[in-house]
Amino acid sequence: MTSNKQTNQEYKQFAKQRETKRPILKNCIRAFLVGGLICTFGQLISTFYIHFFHFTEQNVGNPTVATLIFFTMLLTGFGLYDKLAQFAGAGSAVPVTGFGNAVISAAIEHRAEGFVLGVGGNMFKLAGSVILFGVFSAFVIALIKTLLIQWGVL
Amino acid sequence: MPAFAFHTYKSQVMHMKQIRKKAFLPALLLISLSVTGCANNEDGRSASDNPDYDLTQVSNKSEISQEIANQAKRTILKKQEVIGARAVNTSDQLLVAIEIRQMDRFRLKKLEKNITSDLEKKFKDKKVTVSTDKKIYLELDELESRLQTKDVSEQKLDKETNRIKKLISDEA
Repeated sequence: MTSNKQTNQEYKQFAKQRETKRPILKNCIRAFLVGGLICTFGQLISTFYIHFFHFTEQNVGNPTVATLIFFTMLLTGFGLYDKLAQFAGAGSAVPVTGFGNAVISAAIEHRAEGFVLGVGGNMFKLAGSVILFGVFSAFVIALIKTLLIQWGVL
Repeated sequence: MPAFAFHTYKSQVMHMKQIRKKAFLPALLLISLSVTGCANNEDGRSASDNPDYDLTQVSNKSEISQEIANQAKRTILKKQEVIGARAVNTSDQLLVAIEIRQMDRFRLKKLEKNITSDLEKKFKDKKVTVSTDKKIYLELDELESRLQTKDVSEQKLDKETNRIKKLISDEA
C-alpha cells in the first residue's frame, strides 16, 4: 500500500514536469476581452430594443437574452462558436451565449437518435444542471431576502 | 469574430488579411456610437449653455402650462449627480425622467427616492412620479417636443401621460 502511494506521488511529479504549462494570465485576458465584447453586443441589442420598441430598462432583459441565444444558435450551427470557444474559453462560456451553446450543440449532436430519445433526452444533459442550480440558488436567495425583509433588516 | 483568428494564420498574406479584418469591429462600434451621438433636438427647447447638463424648456404655447415641469427640471438639475432631465405636467400630475451621471448610478435607487421626496415637498398639489429609465426619458422627450411644436389637447396629454406612467410600472 505504501509503495503504491509512493509510485503515485512519483508519477504525479513526473507528469507535472512533462505537462505543458497553461498560460493562465493569457487565458484570463482573452476571456475578459471576448466576454466583454459579447456583453457589449448584448448592451447594443438592449439599447436597440429600448429605442425602437416598447421596452423599458426594466423588461428589456428578456428579449435581449432571447436574441443573444438566437445568434448563438446560428453560430453554433455553422460551427463558428467552437472556434470562438477555443480562443476565449470561459469568456464564451460564462455569458448566456455559453448556455445556449450547451443546449444547441447537444441537440445537434444527438439528432441522429431521433427527436424524442435523441434530441429531447439529451438537449438538457449539460444545460440541465445550469437550470437546476440556477433555480435552486435563486430559491435560496429569495428565501433569505424574504426573511430579512420580514425581520425588518432590509 | 475576427479577434480569435490571429493565432491560426499560416502565411504573411493571411496575416495581412486578418489585420484588415481586425479593424472592422472597432470601426463598426465607432460608427454606431457616433450615429447615436448626434440625435439632438432642433425645436428650440434647449435652454442650457452648460455642456455638463441637458436642460430643456417648453414654451407655454400649449393648452396646459408646462411652467411647473420647467421649474422641476431646473430644481433637479442643480444636483450634481443629475446630468439631464425631461418633465411633463398635467393639471394634477408631474412626470419626471432623469439621467444620472455614470459613476453615480451605483446609488440610483437612493437618488431616485431623494429626488421624488424633494419634488413632492415642492409641488404638493401634484402627483409626482420620477423615473431614471432611459425609455421614459425618450418618451418624455418626444412628448415635450410635441408640446413645443404642435397643439396638444388636454385629453391627449392626459392620455399620453397615463400611457408613460403605465410603462414605468410595467414589470414584465
